[in-house]
Amino acid sequence: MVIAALHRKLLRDLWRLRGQVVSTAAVVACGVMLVVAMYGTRRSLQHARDDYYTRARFGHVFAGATRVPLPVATRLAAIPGVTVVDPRVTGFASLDVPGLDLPAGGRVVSLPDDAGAGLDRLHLVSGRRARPHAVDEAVVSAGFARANALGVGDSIGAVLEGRWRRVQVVGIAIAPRFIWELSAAPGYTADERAFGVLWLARDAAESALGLRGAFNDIMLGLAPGVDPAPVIAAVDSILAPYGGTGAVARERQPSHAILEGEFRQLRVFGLMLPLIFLAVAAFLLNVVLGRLVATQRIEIAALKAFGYTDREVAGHFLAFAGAVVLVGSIAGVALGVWLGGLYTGLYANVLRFPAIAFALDPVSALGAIVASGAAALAGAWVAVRGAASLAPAEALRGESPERYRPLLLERLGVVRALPSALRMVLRHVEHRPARAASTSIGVAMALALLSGTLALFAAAFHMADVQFRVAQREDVAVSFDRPRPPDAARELTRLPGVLVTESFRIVPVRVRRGTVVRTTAITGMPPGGALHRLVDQEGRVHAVPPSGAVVGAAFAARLGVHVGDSLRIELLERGGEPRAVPVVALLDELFGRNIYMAADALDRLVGDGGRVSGAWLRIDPQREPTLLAGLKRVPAVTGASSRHALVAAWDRQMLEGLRVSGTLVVVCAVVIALGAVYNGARIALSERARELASLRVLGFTRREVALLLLGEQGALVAVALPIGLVGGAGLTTLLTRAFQSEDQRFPVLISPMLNAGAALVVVAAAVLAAALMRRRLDRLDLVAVLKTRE
Amino acid sequence: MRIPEALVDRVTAWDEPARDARGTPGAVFEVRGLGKTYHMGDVDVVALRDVDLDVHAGELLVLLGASGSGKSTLLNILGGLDVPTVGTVRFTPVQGASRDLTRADADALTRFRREHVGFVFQFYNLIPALTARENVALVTDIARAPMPAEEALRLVGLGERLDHFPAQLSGGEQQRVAIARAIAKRPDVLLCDEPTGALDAETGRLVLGVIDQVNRELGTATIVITHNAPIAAMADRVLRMTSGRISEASRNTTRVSPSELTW
Ligand SMILES: Nc1ncnc2c1ncn2[C@@H]1O[C@H](COP(=O)(O)OP(=O)(O)O)[C@@H](O)[C@H]1O
Ligand SMILES: [Mg+2]
Repeated sequence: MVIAALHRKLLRDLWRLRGQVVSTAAVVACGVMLVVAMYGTRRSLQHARDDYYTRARFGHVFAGATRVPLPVATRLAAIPGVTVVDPRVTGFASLDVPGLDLPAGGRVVSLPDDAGAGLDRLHLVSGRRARPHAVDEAVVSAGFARANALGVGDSIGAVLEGRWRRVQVVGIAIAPRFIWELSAAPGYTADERAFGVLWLARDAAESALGLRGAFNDIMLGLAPGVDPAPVIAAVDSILAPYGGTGAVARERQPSHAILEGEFRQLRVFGLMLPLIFLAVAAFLLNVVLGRLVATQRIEIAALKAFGYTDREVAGHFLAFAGAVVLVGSIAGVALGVWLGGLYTGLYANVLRFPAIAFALDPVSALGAIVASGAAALAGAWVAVRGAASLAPAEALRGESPERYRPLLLERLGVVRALPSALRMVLRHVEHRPARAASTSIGVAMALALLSGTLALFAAAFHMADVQFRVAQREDVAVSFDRPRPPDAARELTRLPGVLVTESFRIVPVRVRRGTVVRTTAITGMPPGGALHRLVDQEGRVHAVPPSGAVVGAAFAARLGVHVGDSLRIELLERGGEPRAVPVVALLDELFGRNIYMAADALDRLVGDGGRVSGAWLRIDPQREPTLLAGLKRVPAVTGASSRHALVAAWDRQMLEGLRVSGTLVVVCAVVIALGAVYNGARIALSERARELASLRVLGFTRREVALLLLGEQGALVAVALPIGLVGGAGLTTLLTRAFQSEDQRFPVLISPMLNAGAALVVVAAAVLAAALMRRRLDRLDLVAVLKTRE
Repeated sequence: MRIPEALVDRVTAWDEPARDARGTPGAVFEVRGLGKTYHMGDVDVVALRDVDLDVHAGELLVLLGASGSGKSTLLNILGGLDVPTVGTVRFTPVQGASRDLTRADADALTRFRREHVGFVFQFYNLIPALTARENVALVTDIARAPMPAEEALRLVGLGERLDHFPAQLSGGEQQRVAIARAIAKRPDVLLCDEPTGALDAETGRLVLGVIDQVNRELGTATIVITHNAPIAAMADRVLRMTSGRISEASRNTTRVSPSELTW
C-alpha cells in the first residue's frame, strides 16, 4: 500500500535524522517551555493576587491622618462611590523578640471587632484572631513570624508609646496590605527578622496608641468602576483638618506598588523573553527544516517520478516538520509545567498570598506551539515547493555542477595564493551566503540571549555592590522611635563597639508638581559623612550640597523638575504651608524616589532644633552581637538593621533567582547554539558529502577533511561572536528599559568578563556540535557516496 | 587476439612476467585469494570470491563484466577505498617498499591513496566551487612530487581552459579534468571506474584517448573498468569478471588506438 510505504519512510527519516530531529525539537521545546513556564507563572501569580484581593477585600483608597474622631468616618462613607470605610489605628512599636539579637521594628494595626466586617481581612495561617477586648493578644505577620521562628503561644515584648508590654502571639496571618511587610527604614531588601506587623484588637490598639475614639488610618472600598481620583480629593478635604497625610489609590499603596514592580519584571521575563526565545527558535526551525528538506531533492523527484502527487509529496515532508514540532512541543509543555511550578514556588516563598498554584495557560501554550509549527512548516514548505516544482526527470538527471565564481577578493585581485581547499570553503560561503548566514545568525542569537540576560543579573549584583559597598557603608543603621534631640545619637557613641556615629534625619514629605503628587521622605545627612553617601549608578560618590535638595534623577524626571527648579514640599509631620526647596543637583541613583539635603539645611526647613531620626554606625565587627543586643535596651531605638544581614538577605534572594533563571537562560542558549551549529554542520555535511568524499578519495586525511567542514563552521561561529555580543548589548538595553521604574533603575552593564563567559558557553556548545559531527564525518562511507550520482 | 578459453581457466600473473607487454619486471599489485562479502541483514552478498591477479607496472588493463559482477569492488579494494573480507593485496610502488594493503589501517590507506593512486569515476566528482586548475591543485597541494597543475591539464588537452569552473565545461572536459587531477601526483596506478559511462561515444573516445596517452607517456599502470566490450581492444590485457570471479583473461597483441574504437 502506497501510503503505508510513505509513512514508513517518514518514520525511517525521523530515525535516520534523529540528531537533527532532537536538536531542532529541543529548540522548539525551549521556546514553548519558556512561554508555558514564564507566562503561566505570571498569569498564575496575577490570578492568585486578584483572587486574594477580592476575597480579602483589599481597599481601593488609603489615607492617613494624625487623629480623626470616629464619627468622621461616616462622612467619608458618604462620599459618592465609596461602599465601605474601614477606620483603623496604626503606629510603630519596638519589638523585643526572644532569640533575635537586634531590636526589631513593628507596625501595629488595629483589627475591627467584627471579623466579618471591614476591609483588608486577615487570612490566618495558624491560630486565631485577637479577642475583641484582649489587651495582650496579637496576631503576627507570617514573614516576620517565620523569620524569627515565632509560633502561636510565644510571647514578645513590645514598646508602644514608650510603654513596654508583653503580648502573646495568638495567630499568624497575612493581609493584602502587607503582602510586602514593609519596614520604614530605607533600603531595598528588608531583613525579614527585623520588621513585622502586629495586629491588635481595636480596643487594645486604641489605648496603646493613645487614640481612643479616633482613627489615624483608613481604608475605603469603592464600587466597581469608580474613579478613585475624585474620591481621593474628597477624602483629602475631609481629613485636612485632622492632619491628613494625603489619600492614595492602590497604585501608590506601598505593598501593592512593590508587588507591581515585581510583576513588571515578571512581565518582562514572562512575555518579552519567551517571545524573543520563541522568535529565535522559529527562525532556526525555519532555516533548518528548509535546508533539511532541500537535501532530499532527489527523493522528492523520485517520489514524483513514481507518480506521487505534489500534495502527497509535500504532505510527507510537512509531516516530517510537524513531527519535529510535535516532539518539541510535548517536551516543551511538560518542561514548562515543571519549571512553572518551580518558579511559582519561588515566588510563593516571597509573596504572602494564601494560595499560589501554577496553572498551565492553554491559550499561550497553544500560541507558542502554533507559532513554532508555522515557522517549521513555512521553512519546509518553501523547500518542498522548490523541489516539487522541478520536473521529475530533471531532478533525477542530477544537477549539473552549480555555477561558481571566483571570490570577490580574487576578482579584485587582492588575494591570489590560497590553498585550493580553503578557496573551496570561501567560495561556498560566498556562493550561498544565506546558508552560511543562517548558522552565524543562529549562533549570534544564542549568544545575544545569553549575554543580554546575564547582563541583567550582573546589573543586579552591581547594584548590590554599589549600594552596600559604596553608598550604605554603615555597619548598622539605627532608627529612633520618633525624631529625637541630637543627644540621642551622641549617646549611641558611648555604646561598646561603636567606632563612628553619623546621625540622619528622615522627614516624611509630600511633593507636588502639577498633577503628580508623591509621598516620600527627605533624608538629611551630614555633608562630609563617611558612612552613608550619595552615589550614582556607576558608583561615583557625590557631595551633599550645603543648601538645596538633591533629587533622584528618575524621580525628578517623573516630577518634571530640573536643576534650578523649586520643589513644592509639604511636611507631613508638622503640617503648615508648603515650602519651596531649590533643586541643586540630580542624582542618577539606583533605587528609590529620594530627596537629600544637608542636615543643617533640612533643620532650617523643618525648624525643630536639629532633631535626628536615627544614626548610621561603624562598629567593631567583633562586637556586633553584643552591640545589637545592647541596642535592644536603648529605649529610643526602635530598630536596627545590620548590613551583614541585609547583604546576606539580598544575596540569598539574588542567588536563588540567579540559580533558576541563570541556569534556564544558559540551557536555552546552549540548546539554540547547538541547534544552529549542529544542524548547520550536519546539513553542510549532507550538502557536501560528495565533495568531502572526493577529497578523501584523493588522499585527504580525515583530519584535513574535518578541518575543512568544521573549520568553515568554526569561522561562521567566530563571525557570530561579535554580532552576538552587540545584539546582547541591545537586548540588555531593551530589557533594562522594560525593568526601569520610577523607583528602580537598572544600569546597562556590559561586563567583558561576563561576555567572555557567555561567548565561552556558546563556543563550548559549538565544539560539542563539532565533536558530534566529527564522529559522523569519520564514518563517512566513501564508496557509497561516490557511487551515487548527485 | 584472444587466448582460447581452455587455456585461461585460471589466469594468474605469476606465470606471466616474462610475457609482460613492455617487459617491465615486477607487479604493482599482487592479489591473492581476495574475497569480499557484504552482509545485508540476513543475506550475504558475495561481491568477490577467490580473486588472484597481478597488475604490472606500466600496463593498461581493461576489466570487463556485467553490472554487479564485482568490478568496482575489486577496483575500490586495489585503490584503498575498501577492504576485503579475505585475501591479501600486496602493493609495490616503482620506488619504495612493498606493503600489504589488507593489513593497513585507515590512515595508512589514506596515505596510500594520497601518494600512489589516481582515481577517475563515472561521475567526475569535481569540486564545483573550484576551477579546473584549482581542482587539480587540490591534489598537487598535498602530493609529494606532483607535476604542475597546468602541465597535467595540458596533458589532457585542457591547457586553454585552466580557469573554467566545472559548470563551464562539457561532460567530457570535466572527465578530462578528473583525469588530470588523478595523474598530477604522478601516481603509481591510475584506476578508472566506468570513465565513459556518462559520456556519449564521441566524447568517450576522446577521454579514453587521454587515458591511453597518459599510460603511454607516464608509464602509469592503468586499470579501466567498463561494461562496454569493444573498449577492451585498447588494453594490453583484458580480464572478464562474472559473479565476483575473474572468469576470463586475454592479452592483446596490439593496442588499438581509442580513436578507432566503435560502440
Ligand atoms: N555496499 C554494498 N552493500 C551490499 N552489497 C554491495 C555493496 N556494494 C556492492 N554490493 C554488491 O556487490 C556486488 C558487486 O558490486 P560491484 O562491485 O559494484 O559491481 P560492478 O561494479 O561490477 O557493477 C553486487 O551484487 C552489489 O550488489
Ligand atoms: Mg561498478
